[in-house]
Amino acid sequence: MATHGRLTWNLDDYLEQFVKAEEDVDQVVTDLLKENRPYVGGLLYNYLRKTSESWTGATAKTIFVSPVQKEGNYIFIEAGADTTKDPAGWYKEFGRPKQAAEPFLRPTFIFLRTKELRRLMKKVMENMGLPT
Amino acid sequence: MTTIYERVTTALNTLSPAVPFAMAPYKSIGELPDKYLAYQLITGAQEQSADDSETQRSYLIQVSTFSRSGLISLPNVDGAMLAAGFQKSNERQLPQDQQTGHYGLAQDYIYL
Repeated sequence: MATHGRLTWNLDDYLEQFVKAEEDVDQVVTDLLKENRPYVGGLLYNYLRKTSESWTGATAKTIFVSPVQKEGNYIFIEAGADTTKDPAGWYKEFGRPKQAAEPFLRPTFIFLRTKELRRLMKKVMENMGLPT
Repeated sequence: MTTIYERVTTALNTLSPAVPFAMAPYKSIGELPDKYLAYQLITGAQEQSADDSETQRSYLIQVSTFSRSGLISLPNVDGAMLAAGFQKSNERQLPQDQQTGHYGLAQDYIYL
């Protein structure tokens, strides 16, 4: 059966606006990530909380968001649950033979990709007086 | 309208030889099978919209293979899911379960 479509970041038009306005795209992305690091951590916590049938707080303690990093052309933050500290996050995300998964990492990142990155980028553009 | 659960069930029913499967967690009266599959919808997300209406949605499905004899000989879940129109995404080995002795492999598939 043929592939039905493709997944996108849905940001191409905004990035083109930055280029047209001769803005430093790297700086814009860096600022966007820096400003929204706490929000990403909060979103992970929120998804974890609302998908947890019972709450011990063990996984919440392992949630992390790194500072903004740059490697070559990539500007990024790393976010997730540090399972080297406690495997609870691993079991919650992927499940076990007698335990259904209560995924929170993948839904958070999909929400960021499909909705939030565009909204956050739009906010940056509005702050810079660019058309959206 | 065909639901995503029907699509997964239809795909996994084509496995040959057949392997027991169910929505996660696999519920069994007594012992769990030595080898079985458990599937779960991880998330469904709107991908595109037009005129305030949704025009495209993606579904992320996790199919976990659990086997007491290890992960060398596994059912061809990729073949079944890809033939049903799913796209392959990430996969990862799960820690061996200390209670049941099963090894696990979780495979993600996207349906658009």
